[in-house]
Amino acid sequence: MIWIVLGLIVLLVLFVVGIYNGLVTARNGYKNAFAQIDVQLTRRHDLIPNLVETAKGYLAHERGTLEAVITARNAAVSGLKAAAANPGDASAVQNLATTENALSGALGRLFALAEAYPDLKANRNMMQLSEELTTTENKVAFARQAFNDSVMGYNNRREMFPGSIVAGMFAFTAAQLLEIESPQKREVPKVAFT
Amino acid sequence: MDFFARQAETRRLSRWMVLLFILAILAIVIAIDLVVVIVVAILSVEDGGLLASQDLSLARYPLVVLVTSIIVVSTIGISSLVRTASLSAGGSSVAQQLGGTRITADTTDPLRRRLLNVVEEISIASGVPVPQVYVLEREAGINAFAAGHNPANAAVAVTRGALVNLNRDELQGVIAHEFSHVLNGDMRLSTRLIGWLFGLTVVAMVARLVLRHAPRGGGGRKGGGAVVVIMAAAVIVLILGWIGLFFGRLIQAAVSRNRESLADASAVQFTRDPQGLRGALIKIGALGVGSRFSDTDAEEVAHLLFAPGLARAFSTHPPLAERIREIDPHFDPKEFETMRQRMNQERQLAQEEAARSQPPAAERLGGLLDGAIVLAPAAVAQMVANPGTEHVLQTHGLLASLPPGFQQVARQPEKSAALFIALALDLSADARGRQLAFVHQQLGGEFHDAVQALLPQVDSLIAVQRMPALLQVFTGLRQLARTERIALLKCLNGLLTREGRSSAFPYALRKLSQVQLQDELDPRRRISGTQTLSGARDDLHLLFSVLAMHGSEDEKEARRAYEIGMETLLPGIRPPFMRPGHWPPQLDKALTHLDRLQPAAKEMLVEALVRTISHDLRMTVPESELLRAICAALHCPLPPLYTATLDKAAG
Repeated sequence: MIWIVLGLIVLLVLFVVGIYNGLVTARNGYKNAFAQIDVQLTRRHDLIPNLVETAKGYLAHERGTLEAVITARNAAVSGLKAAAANPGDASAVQNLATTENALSGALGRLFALAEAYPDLKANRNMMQLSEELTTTENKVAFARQAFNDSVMGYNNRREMFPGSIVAGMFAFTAAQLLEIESPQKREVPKVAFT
Repeated sequence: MDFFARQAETRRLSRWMVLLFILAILAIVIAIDLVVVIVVAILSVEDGGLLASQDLSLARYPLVVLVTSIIVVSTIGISSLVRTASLSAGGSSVAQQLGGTRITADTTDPLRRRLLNVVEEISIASGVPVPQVYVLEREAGINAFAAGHNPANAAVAVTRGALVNLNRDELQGVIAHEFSHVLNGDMRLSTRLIGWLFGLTVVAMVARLVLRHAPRGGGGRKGGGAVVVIMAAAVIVLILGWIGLFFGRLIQAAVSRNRESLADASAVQFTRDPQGLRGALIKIGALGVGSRFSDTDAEEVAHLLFAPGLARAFSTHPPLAERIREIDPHFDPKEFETMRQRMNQERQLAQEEAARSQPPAAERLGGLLDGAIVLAPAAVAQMVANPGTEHVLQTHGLLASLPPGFQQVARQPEKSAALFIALALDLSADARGRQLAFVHQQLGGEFHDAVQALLPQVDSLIAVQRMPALLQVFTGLRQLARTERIALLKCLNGLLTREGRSSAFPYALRKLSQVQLQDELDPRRRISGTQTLSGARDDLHLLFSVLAMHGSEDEKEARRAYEIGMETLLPGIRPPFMRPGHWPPQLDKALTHLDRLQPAAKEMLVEALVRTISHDLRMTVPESELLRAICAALHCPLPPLYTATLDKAAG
């Protein structure tokens, strides 16, 4: 009898260990996936000072917009720093999404403004920078998908029975999905045909 | 249909293809046998032989039938093999044969830059490594293809027409379509098919050759008749050759048609935006040349293309309108016409624009982007085994900076050995004492004293000079006798177990001496590469971790450098950056594995290494030393690059 009980206890312990390890693997998985977003977002942030520098010469009267872009960029940089330090911190990731969206908004206004300055639009640097920003944002969007997939996998594991019990025992916190809106397409403006 | 179902479907299709291929060969063999038997019979009738029996069954001439069949089958077989072998380099060979120009990462042309960016994006979206990218500059139609035997040697080629006419989203749709061929495994099948098709068409080609080179006019009285008969036979064989062509096209159509619909579906899945692909297909319909190729060689690759390259009976692709309807059920074919008008107007506007605004004078070409970073990855990959003048100059400058008399010492065999050991010694006094004692014990007191005498000179070298100094020493060392070299290498191995802590220079020194001295001792040791990148995941993990670790002390910077290099090689799941402890033995093992990579994969690897090194726009001395050692171990020589601290563009 006692052996059966002992055997059951050992089985139970093994079971819990298995679930625990599964949770840890899933957590490392999404943390690693974050590193791939980190690379692209950093590149995005690095491009923006160049963009502002280029636009400055043409948009001397629009300092407000340019400053807004720089402010939003700096906020996003610190947001990224906090989130990269601990991708498991839900509020940091949420904050990153907010700052990135604000940055996208500020950039959108800058590009909308640039429409009125044909010289700026035709500037070779500006065109290159715009292309690099677009590709970086697309890469963020695709890398983000992988991150969100693994966050969802982790959260499902954490919330479903019996994982939820183990997660509760060892304080596995919920991870936050990263929702960055895709910025508006910055194509050459469509020519209107009537 | 999920990924595995698609791969299973591909396997089923390739069995079907083999069956069709065998049927085609059979048909050709039987037909040619018949013709040859008829010819032989007629010739022997002329000789007045077998007048009586006019029975022309194959069985009457078993030897003729056998010989003919063997000749036909081996012609088809050998030519298939030869063609297949000519494609052994993978997708790049197909692209080059069609006149493609490779795009490297340092391109500054905006259209090419955009293409390269789009390819990188889809690589992230699909988890397939970044393939080589080609542009077919001569083709004005909108088309593209992916070729290769596996993702590591895949190449994606896009026509000039596609580059110019498609916008970013449309280009993305087309590239995503090609990537799905890579991912689903049909690219491999299609590439293999090129070789097979060549075998099937070779019969017609042989007949054409016979016709062209046959003696004209009756030479002799009796021979004249034979020539006529042979000519007639060749004409018939040429017609029979169309059997091969017929089957070839049938196979192409069978392989291609439903693969294309599948690829369209996966493309939409990758980009999550049906508009791009839809727009690209509409533009093909609207453009005058459509997707047609001007190069007739495109016949061979018709089944690889994004849209039909040639008009013909067995179409390789579903009709355009049908393909668009699969994506967008509400599609109205009138859109072709509206798009045509719109494209014309846009072209007109662009021309007016170009006429009005002269190119902006001497606009400073963006010194801000990748293109202008001196260490552009692709540029370095190109420099492999191809040192430019600039590098010769740099090397020269560095050599001149070495202490006087150094070069003379380095060139003498005995002294170079001592200098070599002196360079290998650890910098800390404690470890150096142990090492010198070991040298004394291994190579004798005289040698020990020679090393000791050289130490002040060696210690006066600054970090950047150590590598050029070492390379000088090798010229002297190569003159040593075999036994001396072996003793020296043995001593070196002993030294390194006695060093303080593992660092880049001693490692590079040992690796280089292995390659420079040991490989020469055993020249037959040639490893043929078949290893794939995804198969070498653990080795890449270690290699990039070690390299990133030497690039920056900062954990976060190092991780970033690691990710930047690895993302091009393993875009999907990859192990996270780690800080390896005692890495030299592990790195040795990893490099031995990586030396077995396929040539194209090696090129990608070197490119990725440079990405990792140059991510912070500067190359540290340990990084340059490691890069040198790694390239040597992979048997891709690299010209010397030394520390170049570049200002960050923004300044």
